[in-house]
Amino acid sequence: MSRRPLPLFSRRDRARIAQLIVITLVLVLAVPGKSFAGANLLSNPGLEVVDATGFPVCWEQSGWGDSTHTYEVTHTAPHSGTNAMKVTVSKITSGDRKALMLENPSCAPNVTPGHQYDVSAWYKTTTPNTVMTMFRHDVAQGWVYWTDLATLTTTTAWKQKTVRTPPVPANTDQIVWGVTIYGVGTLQTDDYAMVDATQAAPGTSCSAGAACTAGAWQVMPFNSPVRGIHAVVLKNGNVLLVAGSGNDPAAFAAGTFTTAVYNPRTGSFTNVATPADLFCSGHVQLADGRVLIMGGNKDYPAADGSHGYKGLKDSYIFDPDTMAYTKVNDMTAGSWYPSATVLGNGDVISLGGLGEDSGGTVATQYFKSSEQRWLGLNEANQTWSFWGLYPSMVLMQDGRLFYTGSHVFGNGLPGTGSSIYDYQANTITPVTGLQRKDERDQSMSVLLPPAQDQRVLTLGGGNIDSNPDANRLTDLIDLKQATPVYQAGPLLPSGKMTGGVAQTATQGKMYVSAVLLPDGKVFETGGALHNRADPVYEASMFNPATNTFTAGMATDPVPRGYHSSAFLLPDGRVMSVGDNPGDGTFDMRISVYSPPYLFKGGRPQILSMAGSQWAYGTTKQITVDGPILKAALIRPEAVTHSSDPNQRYVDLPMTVTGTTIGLNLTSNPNLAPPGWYMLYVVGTNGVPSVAQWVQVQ
Amino acid sequence: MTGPRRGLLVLAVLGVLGVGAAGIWFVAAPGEHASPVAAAAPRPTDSTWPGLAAGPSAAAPVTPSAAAPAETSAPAAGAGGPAEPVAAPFVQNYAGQPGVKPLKPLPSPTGTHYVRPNVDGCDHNYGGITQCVPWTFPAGTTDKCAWLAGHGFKNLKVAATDRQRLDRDGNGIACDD
Repeated sequence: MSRRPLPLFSRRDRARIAQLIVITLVLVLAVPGKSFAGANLLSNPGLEVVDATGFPVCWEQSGWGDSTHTYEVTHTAPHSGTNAMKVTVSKITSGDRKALMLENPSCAPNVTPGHQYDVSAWYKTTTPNTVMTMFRHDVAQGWVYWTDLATLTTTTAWKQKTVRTPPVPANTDQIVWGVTIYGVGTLQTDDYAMVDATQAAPGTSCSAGAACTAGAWQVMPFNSPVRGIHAVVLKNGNVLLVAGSGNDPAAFAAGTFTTAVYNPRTGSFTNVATPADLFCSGHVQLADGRVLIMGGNKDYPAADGSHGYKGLKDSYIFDPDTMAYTKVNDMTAGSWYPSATVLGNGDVISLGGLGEDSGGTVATQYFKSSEQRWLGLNEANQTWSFWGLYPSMVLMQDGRLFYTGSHVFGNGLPGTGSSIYDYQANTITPVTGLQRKDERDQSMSVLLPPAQDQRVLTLGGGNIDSNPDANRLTDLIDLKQATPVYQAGPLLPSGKMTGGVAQTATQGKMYVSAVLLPDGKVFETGGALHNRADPVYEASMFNPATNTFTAGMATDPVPRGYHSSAFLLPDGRVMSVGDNPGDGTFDMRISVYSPPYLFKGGRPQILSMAGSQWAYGTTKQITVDGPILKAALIRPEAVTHSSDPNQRYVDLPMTVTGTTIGLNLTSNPNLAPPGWYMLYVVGTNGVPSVAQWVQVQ
Repeated sequence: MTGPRRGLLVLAVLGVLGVGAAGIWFVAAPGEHASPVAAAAPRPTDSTWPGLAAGPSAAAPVTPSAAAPAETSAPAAGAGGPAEPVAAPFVQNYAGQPGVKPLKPLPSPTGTHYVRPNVDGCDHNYGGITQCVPWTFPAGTTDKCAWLAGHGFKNLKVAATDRQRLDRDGNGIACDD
């Protein structure tokens, strides 16, 4: 007689398993905790960090009408931590009161149009006259009321209310909200949360769907009033957009030259009287934050080829405080497409460009900061070399200039196409290794983050004369080596052409923009395949730590070819302007990119700063609201034609004492030439703060 | 293995799993349990957009009405006491390029450095100056007029000479036949 085979699990086993599963589920689900998988996008959600007056940072007292009311940060039985917000209304005839998130770039959470958010708060209230009220920041209108979401029922024990917002309306970039009380009673709130309800990204705490990894673009609902061919981020966070005649011979003939200052917070533009045709000029921020503009367009070419473009000798300074240009002395030679590099002593060197007679300018032009004037020809060291148009001259840590080989129009310079220029010794020494130096027309070079590493990346390029398909080449060079040599870098990721057609394996782009981000990565966007034709829709993130591109970043919906630029805004987003295809049209749309880091949580807050004037070789204290991963200074961009050799990210090694952090600024001015910088700190969740402005001197 | 023993084993395994899962939950939901940041710091001010709010960058003069900057005081060098010595720039000895010969110095120029008038790669024989009929069409372009039409060019005047033979009917307008 054989034994009855034992079942794998007996009935008793099954019952026990069932019991255990139930207990486990109860344990897991009933544990009080976050209701969402996504990151909380709020700063100071638990009200635990307070300011000097004892009120929570990133929150304000808000409301209107006639009432008797008090606000109190109570420590009595908060939902968690030590603080809760208590608003008591003892008499009311009209209006309401609420604790509201601060309506500023740093505290208000960033949002994406079309996304929905789960907003929640823990509360106790003695009156049912309560409602969750939302406001939104419209990119054109500023802060406006959005909607009311839900009424909270009376409760003496802490309860959590969660409600999902409607899709965020178009043209919204931030929201704030709070719990409104509009009847007699006491409302306590604590532990607010706001989570993107789009879709959780696997393996991360982000729940903003595709934006978690690709970021997201927004096209502004208004156009630029000027052709923003030259773009300079000013020390006050506004953007100088210079068109001059803007590649429009009719405007040139009429003497109509334009400039506008754009305020990215309000979406407003201020027109600025423009004294000359500053189209085709060079530009750089001086040590005091004013902008030195050099040269410009004296004439367009003749149809019969009897002369080409001609350069102006004029030079102006734009002052962000007075919003006006003032003239400085003339340069020594006409300068159409000149370079502009600020040195460690605050002086400026300008090389290349076309002269007043359409010939090449061979003078080294030197702006002496202490005298606020261009030196005469014989006062500056001269090599009499022609450096081409918009040569990318990057300041090295020893004060020499590295010509990256990135340039505008046609072939590179004769020889290896790249060199080191020593102004003091008056020598030029070749650098080898740059691939296809005659197809790096309107490539872009950047000094990689951090500047201390002295590495340069050169991206893409083409040739408007021979008009090949623009390439995918990148080249990396380490200027710390005894004999620096360019090494081939990874190929640019392939993108799509108009109509969604995939690029072939060899097609890349010229007119590319590369933007240094607060997290130390480089965002690469825009570009086109041929001379003023065939836009390429591709964007990627370059990581200097691994020398790799992450492909598949969201692409600007607007074509960004010739006369396009992209640059970092103080709030950590990237703004993109311009496109001037061969048919002579100009795209006036403005688009703004939110990198993936803006979807990963609330911003770290810089609560205080030991002054905004920083001397070399000093340690500057800041206080922050939580743990910080790193800190850096980023020089605001001054960009045209994929050329901004002054763009740099200067690492600030940290001396950490809790939330007081000493930021150590280099003693070497060549690593951080004097001027205004954007100070960013990055939280442990990878989210950067909004910039504070610092003048390095 | 007998029934009860196996039962115990199953219990033990599931128990470990359950406690583990609960533990992971506790660890993964730190938001409610995180200790407060004990920083009584000044309120953050928004100096980034001086048009919007007052901030510590009192030096950004667009807001002369800026409220008292929220700054912690740092001992100012030279304020009263002896000035602290300032560090000299620390410069590294990189990129000396040993053995690389500098380019030969050029003599002071006696004439213009020639640059071709069509420096922008555009054939200004056609259209307005702001337009850019390519001097060289992209490789593989078999029909230049079709390429131009496909790229938005219309009513292209022949402004000088018909260098690329686009005005086949000779009426002064390129690509209209």
